[in-house]
Amino acid sequence: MAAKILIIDNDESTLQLFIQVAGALNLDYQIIHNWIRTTAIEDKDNVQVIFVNVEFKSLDLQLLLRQFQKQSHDEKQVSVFYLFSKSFNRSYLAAKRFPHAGELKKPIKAEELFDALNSCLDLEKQINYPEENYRQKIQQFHAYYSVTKELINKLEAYFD
Amino acid sequence: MIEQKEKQVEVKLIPVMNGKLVFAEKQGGTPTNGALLAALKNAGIVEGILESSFSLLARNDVNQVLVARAYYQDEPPYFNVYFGIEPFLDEILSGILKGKPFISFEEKFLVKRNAPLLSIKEPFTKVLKYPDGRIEKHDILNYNKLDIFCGKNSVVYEDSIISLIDGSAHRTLDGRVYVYPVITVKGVGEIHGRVNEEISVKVTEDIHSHSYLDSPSNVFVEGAIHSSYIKTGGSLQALEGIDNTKEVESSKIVSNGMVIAPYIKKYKVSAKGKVVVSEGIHDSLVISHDEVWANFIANSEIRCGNGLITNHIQGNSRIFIGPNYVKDDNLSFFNTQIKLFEKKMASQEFVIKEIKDRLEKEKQTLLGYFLRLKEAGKKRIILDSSIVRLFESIKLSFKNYQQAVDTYQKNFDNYLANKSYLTICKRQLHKIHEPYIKVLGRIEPGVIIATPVHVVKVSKQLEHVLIILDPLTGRLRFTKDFSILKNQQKETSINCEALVQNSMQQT
Repeated sequence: MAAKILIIDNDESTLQLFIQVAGALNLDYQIIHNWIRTTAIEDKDNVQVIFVNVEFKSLDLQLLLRQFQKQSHDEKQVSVFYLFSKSFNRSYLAAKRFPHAGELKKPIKAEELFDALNSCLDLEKQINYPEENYRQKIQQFHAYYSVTKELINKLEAYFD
Repeated sequence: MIEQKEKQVEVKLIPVMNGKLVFAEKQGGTPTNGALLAALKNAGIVEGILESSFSLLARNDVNQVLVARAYYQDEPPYFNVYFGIEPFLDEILSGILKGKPFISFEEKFLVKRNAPLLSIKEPFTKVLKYPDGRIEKHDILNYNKLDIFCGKNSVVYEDSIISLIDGSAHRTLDGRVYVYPVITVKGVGEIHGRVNEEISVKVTEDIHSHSYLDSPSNVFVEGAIHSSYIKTGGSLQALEGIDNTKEVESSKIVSNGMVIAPYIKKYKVSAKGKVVVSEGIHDSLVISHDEVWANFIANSEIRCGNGLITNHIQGNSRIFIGPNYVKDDNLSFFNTQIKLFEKKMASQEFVIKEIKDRLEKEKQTLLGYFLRLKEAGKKRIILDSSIVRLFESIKLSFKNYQQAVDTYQKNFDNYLANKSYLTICKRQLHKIHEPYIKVLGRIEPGVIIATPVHVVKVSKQLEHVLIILDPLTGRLRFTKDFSILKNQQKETSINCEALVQNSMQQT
C-alpha cells in the first residue's frame, strides 16, 4: 500500500516544497487548495499524513479530523500536522485544542518537513529503486497471466 | 563543511536523511544553473543530481529546491580475470622507469578452449548510491545473468565465463569478454589491402607503410609498425616500436585496449586503455582514456583521462590532463540506450494495460453468459457461434498479452544489461584517485600542462614533481610529496595482488 499525503493549503512556496519532497520520496500526494465539506479525496484509505493550513476560514477542522479518524484501534491513526504563519491567529489557537501530530510554522524548511514525515513514515523504504519497480511490474504481469491461463484451461473443457 | 563552500555562489546545500537528499537554498541572489552545478561539484555531490529542478530556484516564491537524491541500484559483479597483464602492471611500470625493454605479452592473452576467462568475485548486489558518491552495500541479488558479459566465443559455465575456442582474449571497457582465433602472418603491407577479418593477428615481422589492419581482437607485432592505420578491439603491442617517419597523413592507431611499444614516433595514437612506452614518445599525439606511462616524452601532445607517469618531459610538449580531454562515446551510448529502453517499457505498459482491459471485458461477458445459464437452471450448456467466437477472441487476446509481456521482459533485460555496462565503464574510467602527473626526473622549461580551467607553462626546470588536479577547483597542484598518491592508489594495488593470488590459486 503506497503511503499518501494530503496537503490542504494554497501557498505556492509551501506547495512547491511538498511537491518536490513527495516526488523525491515517491510518495503519492493530493493537493487541496481549499477545503470544503464535499471535497473529493481519491484513495482516501491510503492517506497516512495530512498537512493542513489551519488558518483557512472555510475549514471545518473537526469535520476533517472526523473524516480521517480510523474506527478500529488496531489501525494506525492518520498523522495531522498544522501549517500556520501567525502564532496568534484565532483559527490556529482554536485548532490547537484538537489532537495533532505536530505544527509547522511558515516559511517551512525542508529539514522541518522531513522531521515531520520521518516521525510518521518509514522514509528509507521510499527511496527510488527503478530496477525493483520494473521487477514488481513484471511479477504483476505474470500473476495476471497465470490466473487468466488457469481460467482459459478450465473453459477449454466446456468448449471442447 | 558544505555550507562554508557554498557561500561563494550564494547557495547553501542542506543534506537531509543522512545525506540521502540534498536541498539547495538561496542565499540572496538567484544562482545560475552553472553556479549550482559548480557548487554541487565543490561539495562532492556527484550522483543523483536533479538538474531539471534547478530552474525552480529562479522563482521568487521558491527558496529551497531538491537538487540531488540517493537511489538504489543493481550493482553488477566484480570479476576475477584470468588473462591479460593487469596483475603485472606494477612490474611493467618499474621496468619502464628503469628503461628496461618489454617482452612480448602475447601469451598472457592466449586462452585454451573451456578455460575460465572470468569468474565472479562479488555477485550482483543491491547498493544505495548517495549523492556524495558513497556506496552502501545491501542484499546480494539472487539472479545471475552473466550472459550479458559474454562476447564472441565465450559462454557462461556455472559462476564463470569460459572460452569456446583456443584463441586470444580481451575484455572491453563495458566488461564484456571476447575470444578470437589467432592467425599468424609474417608481415602486413599495402599489398594486402584492407585487412578487417574477425581474427586476432600475430605479425612475426613488421607492419609496413600504408597498411590497413582492423581487428576486433588483440594485435601483436614482433617487429615494428610503420606509417599504417591500425584499429584494434583489444590491445596492441609492437615489440620494435611504432613510427611514422614517412609522415603519412592517414597513419593512426585506434585501440579499445592498451597500446604497448618501446617507442612512438610521429604517430597519432588513441587508446581506451593505458598507453605504455618503455623508451620515449617523440613528436606524437597520444590520447589515453586511462593512463600514459613512458620513460620520457619529447615534443609531443599527451591527453590522458586518469594520469601520466614518466621520468622526463622534454621540449615543447603539451600535457592535457583530466577526463574532459578524452571524449568517451561509451558513456553517452549506454545512457542513451537506458533512456530508450525506459521509454520502450513505458509505452509497452500502455499496450499491456490495453490488452488486459480488453481481456477483462471479454472474460466478464463470457462469465456473465455462464452465470445467466446457471440462473436459468439450465444444466446443459448450449454453445452458439457468438459464444464460441468470444472464447476464440479471449484466447487471441491472451496470446497477445503473453507476447506483450515477453517484449516487456526483453526490454527490461536490455535495460539491465546497459545499466551494468554503464556502471562497469564508470568503474574503469573513474578511478579512486584524481588525475595526476608524476614526473620522477625533470620537466623542462616550455612544457605546457593544462586542465580545462588552468594552464601552466613551465618557465624553469622542475624536478621530481607530482602534479594533481584539484577536484574542488579543477586547478593544478604541484607537490614533491609523492605519498599523497601512494595513499590514493593503495586500494588498486591491493586489488591487483588479490587478483594475482586468485589467478595463481585457480591455475
